[in-house]
Parts: sequence; C-alpha cells; structure tokens
Amino acid sequence: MIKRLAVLLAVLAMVAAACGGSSESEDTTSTTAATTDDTTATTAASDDGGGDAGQAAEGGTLAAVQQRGTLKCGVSGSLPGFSETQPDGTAIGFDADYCRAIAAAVLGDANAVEFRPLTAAERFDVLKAGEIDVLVRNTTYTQSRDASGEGGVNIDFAPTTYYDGQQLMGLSSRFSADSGPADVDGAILCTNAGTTTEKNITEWAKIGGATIGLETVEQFPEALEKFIAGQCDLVTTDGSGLVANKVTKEREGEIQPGEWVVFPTAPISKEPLGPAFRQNDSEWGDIITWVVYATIIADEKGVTSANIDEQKDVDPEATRLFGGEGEVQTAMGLNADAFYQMVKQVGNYDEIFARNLNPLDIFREGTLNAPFNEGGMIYAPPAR
Amino acid sequence: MAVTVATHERPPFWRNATVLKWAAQLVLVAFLAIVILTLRAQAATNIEDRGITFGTKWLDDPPLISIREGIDLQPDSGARALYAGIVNTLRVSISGILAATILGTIIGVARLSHNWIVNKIATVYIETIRNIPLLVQILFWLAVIQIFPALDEDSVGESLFLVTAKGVSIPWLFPAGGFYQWLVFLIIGAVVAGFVYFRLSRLKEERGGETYAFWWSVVAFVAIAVIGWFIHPVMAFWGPIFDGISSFFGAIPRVLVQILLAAVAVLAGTLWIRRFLESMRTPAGLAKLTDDDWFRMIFVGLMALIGAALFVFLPGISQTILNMVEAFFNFLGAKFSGESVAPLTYTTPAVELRGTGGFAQLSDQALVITPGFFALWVGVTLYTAAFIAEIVRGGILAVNKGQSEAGLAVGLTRAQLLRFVVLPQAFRIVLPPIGNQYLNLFKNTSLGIAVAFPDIVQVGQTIYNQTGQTFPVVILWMAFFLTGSLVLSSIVNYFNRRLKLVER
Amino acid sequence: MAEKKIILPEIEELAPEPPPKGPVVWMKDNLFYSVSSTILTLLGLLIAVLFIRGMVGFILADERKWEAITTNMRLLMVQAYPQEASWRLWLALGIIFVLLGLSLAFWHAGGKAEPRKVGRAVAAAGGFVVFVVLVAPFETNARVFGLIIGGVLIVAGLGAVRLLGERAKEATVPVLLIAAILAGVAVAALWLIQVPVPDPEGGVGESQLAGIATTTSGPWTILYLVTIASYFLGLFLRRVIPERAGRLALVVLWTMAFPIIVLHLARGVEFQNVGQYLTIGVAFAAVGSLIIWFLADPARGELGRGLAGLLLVIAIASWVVSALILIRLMLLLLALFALGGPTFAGGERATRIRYVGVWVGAVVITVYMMLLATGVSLVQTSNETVFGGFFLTWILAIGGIALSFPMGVVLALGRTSTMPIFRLLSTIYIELVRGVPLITWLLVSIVVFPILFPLGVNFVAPAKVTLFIAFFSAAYLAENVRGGLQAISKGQTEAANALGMTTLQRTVFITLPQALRAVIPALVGQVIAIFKDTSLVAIVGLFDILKIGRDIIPTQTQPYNFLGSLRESLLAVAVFYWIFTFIFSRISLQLEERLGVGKR
Repeated sequence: MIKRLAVLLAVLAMVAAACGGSSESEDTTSTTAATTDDTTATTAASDDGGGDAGQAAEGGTLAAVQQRGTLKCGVSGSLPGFSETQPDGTAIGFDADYCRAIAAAVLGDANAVEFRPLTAAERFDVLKAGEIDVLVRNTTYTQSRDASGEGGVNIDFAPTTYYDGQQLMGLSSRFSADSGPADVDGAILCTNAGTTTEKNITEWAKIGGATIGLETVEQFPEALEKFIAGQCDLVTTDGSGLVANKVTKEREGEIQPGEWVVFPTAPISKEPLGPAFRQNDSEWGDIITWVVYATIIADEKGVTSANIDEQKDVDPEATRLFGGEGEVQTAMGLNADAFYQMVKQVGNYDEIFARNLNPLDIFREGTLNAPFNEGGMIYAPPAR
Repeated sequence: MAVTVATHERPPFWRNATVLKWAAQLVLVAFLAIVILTLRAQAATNIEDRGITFGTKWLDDPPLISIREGIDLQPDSGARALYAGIVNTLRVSISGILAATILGTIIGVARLSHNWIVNKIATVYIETIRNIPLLVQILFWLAVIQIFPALDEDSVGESLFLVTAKGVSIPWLFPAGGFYQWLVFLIIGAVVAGFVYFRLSRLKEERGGETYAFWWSVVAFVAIAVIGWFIHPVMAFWGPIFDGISSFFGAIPRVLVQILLAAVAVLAGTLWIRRFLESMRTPAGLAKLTDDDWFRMIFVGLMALIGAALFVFLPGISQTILNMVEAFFNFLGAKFSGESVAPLTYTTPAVELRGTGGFAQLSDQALVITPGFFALWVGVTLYTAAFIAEIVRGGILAVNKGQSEAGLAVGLTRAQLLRFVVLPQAFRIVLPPIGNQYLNLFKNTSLGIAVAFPDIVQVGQTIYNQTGQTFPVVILWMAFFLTGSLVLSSIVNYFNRRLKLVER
Repeated sequence: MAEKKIILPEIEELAPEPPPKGPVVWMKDNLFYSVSSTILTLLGLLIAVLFIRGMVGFILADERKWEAITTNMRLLMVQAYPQEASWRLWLALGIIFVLLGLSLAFWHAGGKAEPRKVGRAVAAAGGFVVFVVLVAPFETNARVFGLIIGGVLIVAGLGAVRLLGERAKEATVPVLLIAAILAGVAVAALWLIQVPVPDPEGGVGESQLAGIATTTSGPWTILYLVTIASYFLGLFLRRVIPERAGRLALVVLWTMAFPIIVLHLARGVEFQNVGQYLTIGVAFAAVGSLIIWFLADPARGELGRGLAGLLLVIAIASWVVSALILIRLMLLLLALFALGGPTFAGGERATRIRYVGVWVGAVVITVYMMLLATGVSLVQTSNETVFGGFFLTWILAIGGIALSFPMGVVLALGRTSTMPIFRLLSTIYIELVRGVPLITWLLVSIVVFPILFPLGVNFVAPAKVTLFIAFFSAAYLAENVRGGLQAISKGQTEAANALGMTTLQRTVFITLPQALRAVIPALVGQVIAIFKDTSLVAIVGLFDILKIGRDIIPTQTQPYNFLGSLRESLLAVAVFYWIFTFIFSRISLQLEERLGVGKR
C-alpha cells in the first residue's frame, strides 16, 4: 500500500513537472550521444529494424526517401475508390495512385511504394513521428490541422486533389435528398473516430437544433456494418466515401439499387481532401505540391500517359514540365524527367480520377472537381 | 597477563560493503538520470521541431465530440469529457465485478459437482473461455448483438424485456426524489439491525438455545425501511444543515486549506519518523541505526516535504478539494428537499419515437444497455468468471480433506458442509487471487476502445487526436488506473486482513 | 534367527476390483442421485442442447462464407509475405521441427504411459474428430473420412483398455509412437479433405471443391517425415554424445533458433561489413581470452579486480566517445566477463578454460547479431513490415517473453534486495507497469515512444510493440520470480554465506535456480497470458491474425466477395488461439506433475 502511494506520488510529480516545463530548454550536451557518425547506432537498437532507419534528421525527407529507395505512404486501406488494400499488401485507388505519382516523380518508379494502412485516429501521430513520408488518406485541410502551437495538429497540406463535402446516408424510405436537421433529430449516427466528421456533425446538429447520439468506430466499414444491422439510423462521412460504399454494395447485390440515399445534396461541410506532410520541411512540401499541380496541368494540356511522348512538347509549359532539360525540376531536387515519368507511369489527373472513381459512379462533370474552365475548382498555377 | 583484543579493522574503502553498496546505488541513479535527461532533451527537440506544445488549455476548451452514453453526452469541456469517460469505466468495472463474482462462484462450485452434466458443462465453459483472448471474445459479442432485431416504427411500445440491435433494455428501479431521505432511514435500520444481532448473539452465547439473531436483525432492518418509506420527508431538516455546511466550506479561504494540508503532510512525516525511532529503542538506549534506516527516515522526510511543497505551490489541488467538498454538500442539500415522492420508481423498457425525425429508440426510462456496453460487459464478465471459477475450485479443494470428512462424519449434509465448513475456510484462501482478478477486470475495461464504448481510454484517444495533447492524456490514464488499482487493492486487503488466521 | 521381512501389500491390491458399472447404474449415480440433481441434469441438458443446436445451425447455414477462411489461409498465417520467398518460412519450420525431433530423442525417448490413460486420450481424440467433422462445414468425402478415422480411434482407445484387461496394469505403451501415428493421420487428412472454394468466374454462392491445403500438403508431409528422421537421428546421436552435452547443445540451439529465424531467415539478410566485423570479432576473441585468463586467476587478487574495474571504465568511456557499436559492445562484454572472472571462474584450470570458452561463444553470438542488425533485408513487402498474421503473433509472444526474462529476473532481485534504492526503483517500475492496462502501454509505444528519438530513426512497429510487451511482461514475471525467491528457506542463504560465497555467486548458483524452478508453472501461465495478449496489437494497427480476420477479410471484394463474413472470421481466429493455448496449458499441467510442484 505504501508502495502504491509512492508510485502515485511519483506520477503526480510527473504531472506537476509536465504542467510546468514544456518549453524549457535543456542543456543538450548529452545529445551528442544521440547523433553519432555511425549509422549502425540506430539500427542496432531496433529488434527487427533492417537497414533502413539510419538517417540523421538534417537530411530532410527527400534525402531520406532517396536513400531508402522507397516511399512510405500512409493510406486508409479500406475506402473503396480511394485506397483498398489488396491481398499482396499493395493498395489501389485514387489516393494510392497519388502515392505512386509521388514515388514516380521522386524515385522514378511508381511501384516503389510501401503502403501503410492507418486508422483516422493514428494517422497524424504516425506522420509526425516520421514513420511515413506523406499521408494521402482523404484528409481534410482545416485551420486547426494547419496551426502550429497548442491546439493545432501542426501538419501542412498539398493542394486539394478532391473537393468533397460531408454528407449523411440513410434509408431512402425515410430520407430524401432534401432532408435536413429536423429529419435527423433523435437519431443515432455512426461515424469513424478522430476525424473532422465528428466535429462537423456535432456542430451541424447543434446549429440545426437537433439532438443526436453519436457512435464512433475505428474504421468506416464497421460503421457501415452497424448501419446495416440497425444499430444506428444513419452513417456520415465524406460524400465520396458514402457514394463509393453505396455503389459497391449495390453492385455486389447486398442492397437494392436506390435503397440508400445520400443527403443533403448541398454537403454540410467543406472537405477539401489532399495529401499532407510534416511541417518545417519546405523542400519536401514543394515537391508534393508540384506533383499534384503537374497532374492537373497535364490534364489541362491534354497530356496523358498514352500520348505523352508525342504531346510533351505541345506547348512551352508542357515542355518545361515533361520534356526538355527540366531545370525547374532539378532546382527542386528531382530528376529532370521526374514529371515525365510520373505521367507516363501513373497518368494525369483525369486518368487517375476516371480509373478509380468513375466505376463507382463518381464523375467530374458538374462537381467541384471539374476543371476550372468547366466550372470546377481544379486549377494549377503556371509552371514557369 | 595482557589480553590482546582484536580491534575491528575497517577494510579499505573499495572493499567496504557499505561503501560499495551505496556506490552501486548512486551509479545506478546517475545512469538513470543521464538516460532520462537525454531522452527528455531529445523529446524537447522533437517537440519543438514539430511545433507541438503541451499545456492544460485543452481541458477547458469544448471538444466538440459526442459521447454515446454516460453522464454527459455533449460535454462542454475536455475535462468534463474525460470525467464522463471515467464514470463509464467505473460503471462497467463495478457491474462487471459483481456479475463475475456471482457467476464465477456458481461455476466454480459446479465444477466440483457430483452431477456429471453440470460438471462437464462447467469444464467446457472454463476451458473454452479461458483459452480465447478477451479481445476476440468482446468482438464476438459485438458481432452477436448485430443479429438482434432492429427497431422500427412497429416496435413502439412497452415490453418486459427488449433485446434489439440498438441495445438491451431491462426493467429497473431508479432512485427518485425522496431517495436520499429514505437512505438515512436505511442507515439507521442497518445500525439498529447490527445492534440487535450483536445483542442476540451475545445472549445466545451466554444462555445457549436459539435466539434467531440473524432473523431478528433482518426483521428490524425491514421494519425500519418500511417505516422510512412512508415518513421519509421527516428527514428534510438535513437539507438546510447540508446547505449550511456547503456555504461554510465555500467561505473557507483557500490559503487556509493549503497551509492545513501542508501541515498535515509534515506532521505525518514527523510522526512516522518518531514512531520509527521509538521502535528502534532498546532498554539500553537507541539501537545503532544502519544506513538503510537512515535512508528510510530521510526518504520519508523528503516525501513529506515534497507533499507539503506540492500543496503550497500548487493551489489548484486545494482549490479542487474545496470545490469538491462544497459541491458534494450542495448536492446533498438539494436532495433533502422534503419531497414526499416514493424513493424508488419502477420503470419498464419501452421503445419510443424520439425527436422530430421520429426515430425508434430505446427509451431512457428503463435501464438501457448499449451495444458497446453489452459487448464489453458480457465479455469481461464471462472471461473473469472463468478465472474466478478456477480460483474458487482451487480454494475449495485446498481446504483440508479432513474437514470435509469430519463434517460428513458428524452428519452434515453436503449442502450444510459446503455452507458452514468448507466455504468459510475457502473464502480466506481465495480472497487474494480474486482480488487480483478484480484488478484485471478493471484494467480490461480499457478494451472498450475496440467496441466504440466511451471509456476513459477511448475518450482520451479521441481528445488527443483532436488536440494533439498526447502526453497529458497518457499521464492522466496512468494516474487514473494507478489510483483505481490502489483503491481496489486497499479494499481487498482490508477484507484480507480481517480474515487472516489469528494464530494462538 | 533370520529375520523375516514383512512386506505389507498396498491397500489397493487387497481390495477386489469393483465390477464395471453398467450405463444405467452410472446414470443413476452421476446424474439422478437426488431431486435437485435431477433438476440440474434436465436444466443442463436443455442448455447443452440449445447451445449445440445454435452453434451447429450457425456453422452450417447456407449464408456462411467459410470459403473466406480457407481461401485466405495464407493471408491469415503470414499476411503479405512475398510468394517467392515462401521457401524461407518453410525452411524455418523445418528447423523447428528438426529441433523438435532431436529434443524428443534426448528428453522423451522411451516415454511410456499407462495404456488406460493413453486409451482414454485416444478415444477422446477420436470423439473430438467425430464432433468436429459433424459440425464443421466439410464436404461429404471429408465427413466420411473423418467419421472413419474418428470411429477407429474411439474403438481402438476403448477397446484396448477392455482387451488388455488384467495385463493393462503392467504393460506400457510408447507414447511417441502413438503421437506419431496420430500426426501421420492428420497429415494424410490434408491430402484427402476437400472444402468448397469460391469459383473466380462464378457469381455469389457458387463454389467448387478443392483440397484443403493444395499448396501446403506437400511441404507438411515433408516436414512430418523430416521430424521422424531427426528423431531417429537424435536416438543415434544420444548413443554417441554424452547426454548432458547433447542437451546443453540443444538448449543453445533452441535459444538461437528464434533470432536466427526471425532476424536472419525471414528477413533474408544480406550481410554488410562482414570482413570488418569478423576481424574485430577474432581480435577481441583472441586478446580477450588472454585478458580473461589472466584476470580470472584468483592469484591476481586485488590487482586483478582493479584492472577489471579499469576495463569497465574504458568500456563506459567508449559509449560516450564515438566508436563503432560493435567495439563498444565488445569492450563492455569484456569488462563484464573480466569482473565476473574471479566470481565464476576462480579456481581450477578446467573452470577457467570453460569460462574462456563461454567468452568466445559470446563474441561469436554478438558478432552474428550485429551482422544481422546491420544487414540489408532482401525480403521486401509493400506495407513496411515483413511480419504479419499468425507468424507475427508468435514473434511478438516469443520475442516479448524472451526479452522480458532477464528484465523480470533483475527486477525481482531488485525488489527483494537489501539496498533501498534498488528496491524503490524496482517497486516503482513494477507497480507502475502492472497498474496500467496493456492497451494503454501499446498506445504509448505508438504515440509517445517515437518522440523520444530523432526524426528518421524509426523502429518498425513490431519492434516497438515487442519492446513494450516485454516491458509489460517483465513486471508480471518479476512478481512471479519474487514469489519463488521468498519461498527459499533462509537456511540456504545462511549456508551460502557461511561457505564464503559472494552475493553474486550465491544469487547465481543457489538462489536463482531454486526460485526459477519453483515458479516454472507460473511462468508457463505467464507465457499463455502474453500469447493471448498479443491480440491487442490489432487495436494499434499491426496486422496480426485478429486484425486480418476482423478488418481485411470481411471487407474483401476482389477477387472474391467476402463482405459480411465477420463472424466466421472471428470464430476461425478464436479456434486458432484456442488450439495453441489449450496445448500450452496441457504442457503446463504436465510440467507441474513432472516437477512435483506441491508435492514436496
């Protein structure tokens, strides 16, 4: 008993210390032990480590990736259309293809990717801990996520690859595309934890004057199972995820076509989805940004993976990106033909979109994901 | 004739046991200090690099999460959300402990039954449940609950038991307005019953013959409870008393409490040291203190000083204590309002259409067990019951066979043997291991994270995902579980000490 | 006068054997002996019937997608391990089975048991087979096969006891032979049992038949034959090598088997710096042997101790200065061996020679482990880690327990030590780690632990998790060992002190062996508990068998659609865990019997 008390006191002392000294600067003479000039120092410490963890922090992510030879990409792994884990461990989908695009640009090989499926709850910690290089996991760009300092998640975002919005899904027998908070009052919703989804739906319900119960699960497929079993009355997440799951289930014959309805037509929140990376690494961040822009520009110019060899010089901007000496690419730390390889191996924005999302009845026309000159928001700055 | 007395030569310091002992310990402490400081420096660098800052602001900010069940479904501060999580953990733990004990004892006794079928069923149960991981079992129960029928508009209405996909609902007795007033009567009843039992047992010992001490005490208790049911508003006079106490505590300046607590800490330390020195006193004066004794005294003194310093320099602690005491008496004051409502209300499960959306939900009027709670509670209960059953069986088998044989020889039936001879002795043996299982159950409730049950671990994880405050939440988890284990094992130890064999 | 020895017969031999009871009498005695008993019997029958009907109904229903399990067996076992590198895993299994065969030869050869016990066990196995075959969703030919085998086993088991009758008391049955026959039957079953597999071109619900283990029946047969061969090899070796040396060699091989399989074989390591490390190793081995030989001689006295202390200072200094990790480790080992020399090897030449031999062995092992740690992994998978599925579960369990062993013993010694600071620190660690649930520690390992290291240094997830499982298990182990330490009579300590043994000698040679021996059953219980607790890593995202069963299989839509097969997957995972945990607990019971725990 005394011993337990002693331990409790020790923990309280730790709490007191933690409350006090978060920003003290310590005497760092002992950190010399941490940075050694022998790369084997770190690998020896890892039980099953392998030879891939031996870089010091100064090189930055680009150097680490190039030295390692593979890109570590965090994805969802269980979202139809965006990233679905295959039996052999790779993933297919919109997000997965963007991982491949980055790998093709940085390493020249679209298949040099290690996919790491992550739950929404752990994705940011894994990114910040350095275990993945980039997070392409239908993550919404919000202010709190961008913010540094207390209360922020402190990560940075690449340009939006998919403009989405949060919606709800329920049985079409009691909801329609125009249903609103009043129709949802008293319901129990299921969604996945640790996402903006929780915050959005809570706010939406509060403002609309509806009282709801919220059940949070770790992965969206669980939420869907609960909905099918009748444990919740509704599910909510990004509209693309809802439509993708709905169409998949209709295809497999699990539900009748039209049995579920996604509402409201105007989403309850803005969900611009895009890749995310660690703060304070502008070199890496610029690369990811321009990978996204290059795919958009390729689509704008009509350059596809099939015709890139002929079309790469269709105009000077295309030449700068896909042909020629590629000085801008080398200035960023990439190979001159980085974006050429990327489009050739993976495709442009339209190809990636069509390949993964069209089979799920998600199309670009008429949505925010249409090109800017067709009324959408897919727009890239000029490459010069 | 000269007598040479061998003088006690002190060995050189590098062979002196005491010096070596303390040198080794100091080396270890220095080594640990270096390691901790290095890690701390590294962590500080990393934290700065990544722009995270830890603090306590998040405790006051609204977390914008909804908790599925518990005391506060829409908490308006991080602290409140964590509090709701703690209450949920305690709900599952306490109900799980009660259920597991009952079920485990039954199965343990069943395992020893002479009836072949009962014996085999118990054996199969234990062997299956013990060998499958708890997480798998909990997930399985969650999958099972999904096959229960779903609710829709047709199911609106009342029923005795409701087993649905949205949860299980059973009839329940809820404390109503006059409950606390009635509780006072129950306490009085218990005291009177104990008094009656004591007197009658003493009478039985002196005079012999049956006095039915137990039954008379039960009668006394029930009588007072029934009387109290009807006249409980009488107790309303406690209300203003509690209110007065509450305002009294509210008026106490915090500084006073801080000084008081610090003085208590220092006093406790001094008393301990004094008692320790007293125990070392021999008729020939103070015994020689070894270095270990010095260490213990210094350690206790240091702890007392640190405790006092904590109270003095962290006004939050005293303030929180004051606030809690004040709130407690305030709460009690409100409960003794003189209402003449019946203390308990009986409610039946019902399905109602809730909200403007008209969704069929289980009504809160009766006890609703949500799917997450159901899966977690059933899982940990069955799992812990299997272990308790084995412990009970071992305890019963450990009672000396001679006791059973003597009992049978004297003419007791098997049931009487179990009740009067074997179980009381077995109880003494099984209490420590069962206490251990209670601790395990308490810790196993943390698996609620896998079934979306908002216990402290799940709520904590949600909070640190939204605010990035991983360290504070982790420290909170440790503090909570350590405190809980401490309380639980103190309770078990108390009963253990009371049951210890008193040797002649 | 010659004394006549009076031999008293055992009581059991005097009493006549009670006649075997008929079934009716048996039922009356065991089921209906009183009113309450009858009620309980009927109640029990009701519960049993309801339960079995529910289970069988669930298992045999048409919507069940048991093909999800059979098609995904590889995924469940090793997850994403590359197909072309599968030979490594089979080789690893081969190593284990060879060691198993040799160990059986050295420890269990000639093990015999009472025919009655064996007969009952065989009959029980037969009954189990019949039950499984009737309940599980096998095809007809598999059912027939299973029923035949089960029937034969039951008849053999029960019949043997009846037939032998009187002779059953003296006769003994070689246990290993029967186990081998049963294993052979199981292997044959792999070839013969057919289960439905989904048709890739067909729609939902169509299926065709295929063998339960099309790709693995061959390797399993080979492994079976290899085990038998190695058993006979072991018998042969037993005649050639002294038994103690053989057992010691086997213990070392078993200990090394885990790192070899996990770190070397499964990862497919390509060594680097071989020349450099080998040179360092040889140099240290040679020079170190001389130093140790010199310092271990008790004639050195104080000077020897002083030099050993100096070595320790140099070793510690090397960790602060920058140097190769291997050199630092070697220096540290050398210092420790030198310090321990007078304690462990002071005395005759033979002991010192053995001590130097142990030093050389330690050098070899250290060099090997460093080569493994710095080697490049040839086996690449696309989701970061080579280990997954049930394979991962075993690695976490064995690695966690192995790592926790030294930590736990040290903590137990610390907690019972007379030195207050050691006691305090050990107590704080044990109480802190035990008081917090394992899932919290796993979350800490994922979220807090990486912050403590510079960016770019990342441990693979299995490494972090194994480390924290080891930390957790060490605390529990420490409590078990502490119980054993406290059970040693004080006389042992006093006798050791009287003989002039140092604390270290007393601890290593007298106290620890007795303590560990007394807690072996508790330790096996600990192994079982940790094996079950590895299922928690599913929550932190590691792809062990539970996560694959819960998250991956029920969401598969390509190439086959297995949506909604959650309950089947969970049942299959539960069965896997149950089989091995059951085996472990049987082994634990047997160990308890052999060691005579509780009887002495």
